Amino acid sequence: MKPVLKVNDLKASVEDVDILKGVDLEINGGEIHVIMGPNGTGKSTLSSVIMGHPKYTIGGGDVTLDGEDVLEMSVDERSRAGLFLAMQYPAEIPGVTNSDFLRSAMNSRKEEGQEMSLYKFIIALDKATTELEMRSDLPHRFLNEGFSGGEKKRNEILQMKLLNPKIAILDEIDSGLDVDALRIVGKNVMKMAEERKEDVGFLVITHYQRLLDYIKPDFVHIMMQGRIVKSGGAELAERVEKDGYDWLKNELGITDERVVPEKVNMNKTSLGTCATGEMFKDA
Amino acid sequence: MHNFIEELKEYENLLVITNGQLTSKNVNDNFEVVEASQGDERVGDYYKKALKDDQNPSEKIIFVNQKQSTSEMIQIIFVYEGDQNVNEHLIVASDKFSKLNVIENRVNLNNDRIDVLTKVEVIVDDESNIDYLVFNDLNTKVDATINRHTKVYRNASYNCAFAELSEGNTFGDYYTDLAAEGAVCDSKAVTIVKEDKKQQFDININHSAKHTVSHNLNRAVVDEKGSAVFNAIGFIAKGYSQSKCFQDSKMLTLSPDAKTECNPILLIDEYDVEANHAAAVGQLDEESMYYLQSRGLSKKQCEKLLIYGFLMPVAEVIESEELKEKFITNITKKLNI
Repeated sequence: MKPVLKVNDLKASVEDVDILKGVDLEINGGEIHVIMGPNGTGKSTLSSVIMGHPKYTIGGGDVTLDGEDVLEMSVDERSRAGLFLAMQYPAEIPGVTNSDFLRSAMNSRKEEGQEMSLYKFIIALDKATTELEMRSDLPHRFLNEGFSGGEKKRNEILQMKLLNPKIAILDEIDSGLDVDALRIVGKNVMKMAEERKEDVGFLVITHYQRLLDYIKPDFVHIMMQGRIVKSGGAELAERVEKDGYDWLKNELGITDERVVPEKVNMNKTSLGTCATGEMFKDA
Repeated sequence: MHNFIEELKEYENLLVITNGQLTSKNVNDNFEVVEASQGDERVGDYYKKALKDDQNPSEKIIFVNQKQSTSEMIQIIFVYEGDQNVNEHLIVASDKFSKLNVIENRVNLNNDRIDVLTKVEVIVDDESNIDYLVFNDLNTKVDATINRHTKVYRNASYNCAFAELSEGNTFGDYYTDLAAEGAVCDSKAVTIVKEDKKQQFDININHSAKHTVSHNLNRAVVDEKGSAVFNAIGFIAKGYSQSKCFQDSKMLTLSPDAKTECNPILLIDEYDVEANHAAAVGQLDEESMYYLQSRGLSKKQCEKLLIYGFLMPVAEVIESEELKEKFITNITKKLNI
């Protein structure tokens, strides 16, 4: 059956700031959707809300996957239902090896007693890491810890390949990637789309047209002010690449496209910060 | 021999110390094991390397001395039986140019309320290496005070790991002196505290020679109304240049009532050294939980993975597969994860 993700008038806020102000979107298996838009217009928030990040509060609307209410599900249930989000900033998890994690994740969607054998897992992992041209010591390294930006992004795609989602959301998978890594990531996404055809739909969030040299979208949406303000085909992305967003803002009469407040208070003391140093910083 | 000893037994060389008295001795010729009081002439030599001179003259001391420059393994099991408070004192010494691998266990057989006062001294002689693993598994009825005093000599290294999985109150005062040039200490401690128990570990590493190196890693997981304190102290006096002193202490709270206190302390009176300290106290990271859950792992599975990951630096130095297994099942059971 062809999977379908429906987002209907979705509204969400974070710390009392409204970010999503009514997003409508439908993604079917076999389709590649791209969301573009300037910084701070709610693109990443949309992906986080669909996946269920605890930081966001839903203000209205609904999201369904094959008719099932996604917003009612916990994060892990959404994943097991077939949603996948390749994150912009994947968490680093020391002490947990990549292979332990991947195997647990793959087994989490199998019935008890039906778990994948170690042999099958190694074969699958080996194939996927080769296709992504990743370092061979990857399975033994701690999850994302000490990974370069490119390695982290490739590791997200690796997980996508192994977990075979129904709907894959890629949040700025192209930021922080060099030309070679971008090619590898793009090729692997397209390979999955071609192989699994109508079994998988993609939602790709990006700033740049350059990713679209490798990933060919069926639909392009532009987001501003927490809404999708224009939809079209691949030609829309080309127009944005050539002319930027000003023409569209003029057309729609938008002066400030942002919804996310620009200044984020980052003043927090974390591991590795010298507490005494912090104390005397302002003195 | 009790079943539990068979269960715990890892090495051929085995000593069992019950309520402070040596009750079973099974060692090869490369060890000399003496139970004596202070002043006994057989143990006079050890006192030339005197660690502490405030010994109680009537106190029984168990000396374990490696006589040859060989590579040996020995296991020492402390057993507490009955309702008597226990006072015990152990000294372990390696020979020059030797390698010694020690496992120290603590278990209690009864359910009586007792206090245990332990003194353990370790002498790491010139150019030798001691790997010292402590695996404590006492129940809630035992309050333990554990003093450790270690002296590391020229180019010797002391790698110690403390799996403090006891359920009672524990106070550990661990002091390591890097007494001669080239001495190295790598100390790793993990503790799990729950109910309303309190565990405190003062881990003090004193650099008293040039070119000495110490790593001091501590991990605590505190659940329910437990409370844990780490005082990690590194001291480099003036003149002991080219020394390195590193600390890394992290404490994880699993309940709102859990208390933690972490004091990373560096006392350094010399410019030409390398040192750093890291300390972190907090709950399981929300972003990490979200990330793992977004791949289909249940909340419980995520907690388990993150806690194992947190304790990994200690788990990975446990060489014996059986003990490692025991370490993991113990944590799983204790934290109900």
